[in-house]
Amino acid sequence: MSSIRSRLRAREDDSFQEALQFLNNKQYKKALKNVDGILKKNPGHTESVALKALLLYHLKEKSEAKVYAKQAAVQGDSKPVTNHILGIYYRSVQDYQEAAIWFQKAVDNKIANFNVYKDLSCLQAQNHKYVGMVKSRLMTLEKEAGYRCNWTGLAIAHHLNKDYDAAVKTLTKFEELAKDSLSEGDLLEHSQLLLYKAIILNEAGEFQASLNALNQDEKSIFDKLKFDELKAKNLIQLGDLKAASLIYRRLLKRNPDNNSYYYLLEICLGTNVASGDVRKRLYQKLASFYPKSDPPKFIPLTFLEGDNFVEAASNYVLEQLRRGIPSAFVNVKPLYKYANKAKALGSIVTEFFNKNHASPTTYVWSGYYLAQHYLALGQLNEALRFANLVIEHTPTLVEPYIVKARVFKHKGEPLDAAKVMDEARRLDLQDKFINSKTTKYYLRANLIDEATRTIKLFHRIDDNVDVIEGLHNTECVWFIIEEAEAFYRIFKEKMALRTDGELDADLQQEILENQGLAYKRFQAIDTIFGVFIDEQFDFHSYCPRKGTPASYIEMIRWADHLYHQPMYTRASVGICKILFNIYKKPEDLNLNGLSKQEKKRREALSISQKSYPDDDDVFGEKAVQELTLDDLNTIYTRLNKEFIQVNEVGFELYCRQYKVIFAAQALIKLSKLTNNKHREIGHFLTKLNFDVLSSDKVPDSLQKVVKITLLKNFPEIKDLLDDRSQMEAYANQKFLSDLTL
Amino acid sequence: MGRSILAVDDLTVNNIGTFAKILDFSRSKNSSNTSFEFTESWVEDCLEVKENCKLGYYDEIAVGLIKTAFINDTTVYIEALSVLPEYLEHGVFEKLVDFAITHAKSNNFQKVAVQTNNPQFESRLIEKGFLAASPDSVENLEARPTETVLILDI
Repeated sequence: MSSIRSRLRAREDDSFQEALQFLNNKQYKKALKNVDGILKKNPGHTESVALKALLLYHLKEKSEAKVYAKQAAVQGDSKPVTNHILGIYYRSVQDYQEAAIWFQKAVDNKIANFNVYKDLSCLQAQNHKYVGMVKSRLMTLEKEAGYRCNWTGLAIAHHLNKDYDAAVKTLTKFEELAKDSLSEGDLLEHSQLLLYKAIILNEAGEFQASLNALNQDEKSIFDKLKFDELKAKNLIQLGDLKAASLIYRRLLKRNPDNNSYYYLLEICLGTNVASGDVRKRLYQKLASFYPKSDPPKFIPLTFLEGDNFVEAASNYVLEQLRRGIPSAFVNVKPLYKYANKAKALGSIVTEFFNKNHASPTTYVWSGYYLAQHYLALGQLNEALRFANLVIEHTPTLVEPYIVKARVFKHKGEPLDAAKVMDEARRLDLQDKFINSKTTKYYLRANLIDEATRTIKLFHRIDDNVDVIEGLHNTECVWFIIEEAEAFYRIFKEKMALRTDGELDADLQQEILENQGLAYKRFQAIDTIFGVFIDEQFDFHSYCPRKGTPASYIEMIRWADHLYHQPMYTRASVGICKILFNIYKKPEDLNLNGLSKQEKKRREALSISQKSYPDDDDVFGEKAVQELTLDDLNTIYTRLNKEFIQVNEVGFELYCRQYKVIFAAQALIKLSKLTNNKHREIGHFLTKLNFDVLSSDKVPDSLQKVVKITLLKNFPEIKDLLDDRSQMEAYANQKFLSDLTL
Repeated sequence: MGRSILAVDDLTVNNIGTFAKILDFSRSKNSSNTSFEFTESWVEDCLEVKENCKLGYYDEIAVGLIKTAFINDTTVYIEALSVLPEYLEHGVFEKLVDFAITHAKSNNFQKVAVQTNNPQFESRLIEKGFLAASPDSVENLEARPTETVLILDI
């Protein structure tokens, strides 16, 4: 008996091994046949169940795959091979958290395949589990100490885990081991790792050690720019300013257009705290060394005052206007944060503009400057006057139209703004900048078809891919977010058209459509940012192998703050607002009730606005109806709470969930960020106090705590908490007196 | 030697809007050879005969245009010649006329002809060597009664 069973087992194993071979060769159907054969005889073979999940995933049967994965998870918890396959499955579906759990289980259950450690370390890196990452990288190194990438990988893990000492020791150890056996092909990698070591030492605050390492390895480090920059940084931190200044002078010779070198040189020379005269002389000298560079001419404008400023600013800005440099205004715009300097610049250019012009273009460029000058000061009519003067003089120049359009935008006339922008676009159809600007302005004017038509001129990726889909493929986030906001505005407009009586089916459908599309576009931004995060994955193994740890660390740090970017914030705030104002689809509404005209419009739109291939919810109508407060919580936790808008939606979000302490915290943050000048705060306080706190869902004890917190932070409402009408009066008065933010 | 501030360049499908803008604007400012109004389709047709059309540039800004045609076996005829008024004094006009002359020479034509009712243009053309002539002296010319015909022999 037992021999029959063992023979059967052996046949099962063979078949399973063969299936794995098929998987490696991407012959998924063949592999599935084997697996099904095994499961027919032995349904409890969890390795096969797990493998079936993975194979079904590759065969695009994603929902079925999920079922088998769950089954394998329940039955095969203690089997290392099952664990491993499940890990691979979850990694394939990009659920890195779950994948890491299963790889860890495979390790805990003593899997024989040691490659699991390598895979696990990458998942840990992706999940920011640096303590575990150190362990897995150490295991990998123990098995394969002969490869430099394993040493580098471990050092990176230590570095991310902030164990600088261990990171440096790991790198040094390999250097010693490999001292005499480096071939010529290894030298570049060696150079990068030597520099990396010095960077870690600097980050650890070991400036002298970092400096020593650099000096010792100077010949082997090829990147002389990074070498010099780091060396000078160390010297400054060690207080050896004289030596550092020499390096910055060398760096300036190499690139006299790098602003930061000038500032750092000044720190070394101590002139950053000296008088304007001393600094002026320094920059005069530097300007004579580097006559073609901008920084030695511009930087003095930031510290000079009075007549000195006027003289220097005249030379600087008028020279650019004479040479017809279109960016003359943009170059001095940083000075506009000082009112006196802005005023002086305005007078300098006005005087120049009013003089006789030997060349017509100096008139044009100085007029263009003044249009931007007045726009920056918020004097829209003056800005418009100058833009028109220039257009009337040289109607073929694109730039003054752009300012004119911006003026209209600031006047709150998006339609006129878009028209002017388009007029400029027609002058030069191959200018992608003005094409994008026009597209954006069309979207601001809610003219989505015009916008799509315009940007299409620059998006001939593939005849089969329509422009909206192409823009999603290329992750063109600025367009997607502008379109999302346009759909949202149209949604709000249509909502306002509703009357109390019977609702028009066409209108309802349009509301749902625009609401859905707005959500779909905002959601696309979330997806794209998710892709950015996921795309790091390949680099956890690639960078140690290629010997580029410094760039790798830079990438990790960039990704750490990815969700704090304003673009992501805009999309998330958009999603929150949609749910707060959601229009629920009436049960009895269906497409049959639409007018012919409406059906036609909808069909055309479903083609032009398709964002992904094979999408069965082009308008996002289904998806938006499924949106929940829990979805918002996930998004909200990622956001940067230093943005005013974020706290506005945070307050609303928490109120809706009766999370009153968080709601109060959002209000307090809002008050801090705006110096208690946010005009809605009074209304928010009223809402929290009278509508939310009084709900049965908030326990009495919590009510008291929140009230005390509010009083502590908003003492002005002390006597108002029990009287709604008084509180509302206060809120209204605050709304009128405070700033619009 | 610095770069020349004047240039002529080809008409393309991308700058046809600039071409139309100069044509339109100059006509309204009386800064074209003729007050004759060119239709939109005339402008579009220019793209079909790009080698006969040029834009004139001052400091990299398009400020003038010329459209010529081979009107008969001997003559290059300037159909349209416009320069933005603020740039008339700055050499673009002459640069564009020079193009017409070179264009004629390189195609073995003997004359350049133009009609104009713009006195400023007329005197500039005369300065370039053009002489007033009778409309009948140019074969196939659709003479405009209010305009003077000027011819340059080359």
